[in-house]
Amino acid sequence: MSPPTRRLAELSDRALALRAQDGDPDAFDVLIDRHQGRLFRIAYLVLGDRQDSEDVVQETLLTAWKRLHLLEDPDAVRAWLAQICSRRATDIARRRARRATDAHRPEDLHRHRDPSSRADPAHASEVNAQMRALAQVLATMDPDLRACWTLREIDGMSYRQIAAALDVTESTARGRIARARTHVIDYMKEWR
Amino acid sequence: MDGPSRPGDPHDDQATRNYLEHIAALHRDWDELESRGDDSVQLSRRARSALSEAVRADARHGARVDMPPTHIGPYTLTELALRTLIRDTIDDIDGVVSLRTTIDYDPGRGWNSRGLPRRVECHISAVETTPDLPGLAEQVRSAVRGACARELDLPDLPIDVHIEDLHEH
Amino acid sequence: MNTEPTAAQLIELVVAIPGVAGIEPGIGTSLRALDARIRRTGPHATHFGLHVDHSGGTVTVEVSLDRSRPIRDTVQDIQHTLHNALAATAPESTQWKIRVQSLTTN
Repeated sequence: MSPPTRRLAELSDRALALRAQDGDPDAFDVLIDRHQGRLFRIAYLVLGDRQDSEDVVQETLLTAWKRLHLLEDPDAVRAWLAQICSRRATDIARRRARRATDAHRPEDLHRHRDPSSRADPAHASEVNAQMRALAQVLATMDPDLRACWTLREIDGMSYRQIAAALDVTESTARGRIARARTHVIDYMKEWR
Repeated sequence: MDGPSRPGDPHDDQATRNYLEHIAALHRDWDELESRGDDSVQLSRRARSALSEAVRADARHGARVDMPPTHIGPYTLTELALRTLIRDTIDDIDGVVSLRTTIDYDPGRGWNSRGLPRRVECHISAVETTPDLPGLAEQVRSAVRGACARELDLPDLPIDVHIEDLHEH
Repeated sequence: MNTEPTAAQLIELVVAIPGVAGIEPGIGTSLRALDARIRRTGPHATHFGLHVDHSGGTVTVEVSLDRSRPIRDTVQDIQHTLHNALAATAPESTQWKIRVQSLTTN
């Protein structure tokens, strides 16, 4: 007999992860509710595109459901989700950054245009203005700096957690965050 | 100082302090927008429900069960589909209602897969006026075995029938 | 000219087969579809419910069947249809992975 959804919402991440590992989609639903917003903001600040960010977050959560049995520490489900999301977003951002500097490639001409078009102004305005502004600042930085900064300032991770999530040393993470911060602070001065 | 950025460190200069306050204010704004259901800071409602639906469907389906391949290639059935087939077969018999079906499988290849079905256990309810319960059980057995042979090319599957309940017409 | 049919076209062919109630995407193909959209790889290889994996030599389709015909007959027709549709571009060794997700009840 399962507790009603209201009471599920009061359970810790750990308890929800355990129930979800046991096959309970209601428990996983609560995890989705609890984490999807923050994951979306992480992805968006790294990628700067609403549709891509939604896709990455959906990928993250579907992958998490599929691989839940591999999560050894149910307490760490929040950090685990942020890791999957930020790594994926960073990979994509890096790949795009590389392509932007490549010589013109013929296959780009056949790029699939998503009907929910990125060029549509109504669509573009669906992201919070401050998030958009911040993403634009971050877009001037290397994707790796973006990711470190985002996990620090948006997810509130410790340097050690960030290092683990992005598979770098702690001192690399600190250095990147310091550089990213300086950059953002400089831009913020201009906003005033 | 290893926690998330917070204003108040006496070594910060003014710009850093502004920055930290700005970040904190953004969080307050975004958290509030999110709790109000505003899509500008989170997945759209459509994406959230598509996600939820995909997870629920997957949970319902259960594992993928190997089937004897056709002569063109392999295929699988979900545990759900297999149980549905058996349940429908049993329900089609007059005087019988399927309660629960459990299936033993050969070992599967991965965590969400099962090998070929090895044995089927059918738990049923029979109408109380049935004159010949063993005969009815045999009817169920034969029907389920026949369905597995005909639909899935799984002949001679051992079928156990348990009459757990009697019901009125 | 031998242009490979798009995933959407393949799905249309599959859904037209007697015994097929519809495409029923699972997590596997959904992840692939999301990935393809992010990579902007175009409409060919992947759609929710169907995935053509050239390098792996597999074609995966996830369906719901009705009860109008024996399951294995419908499955065989699906494999046959896909084989014909992709005959020009898919090698003989291609594996057809049909996943029956559910049966619609009478």
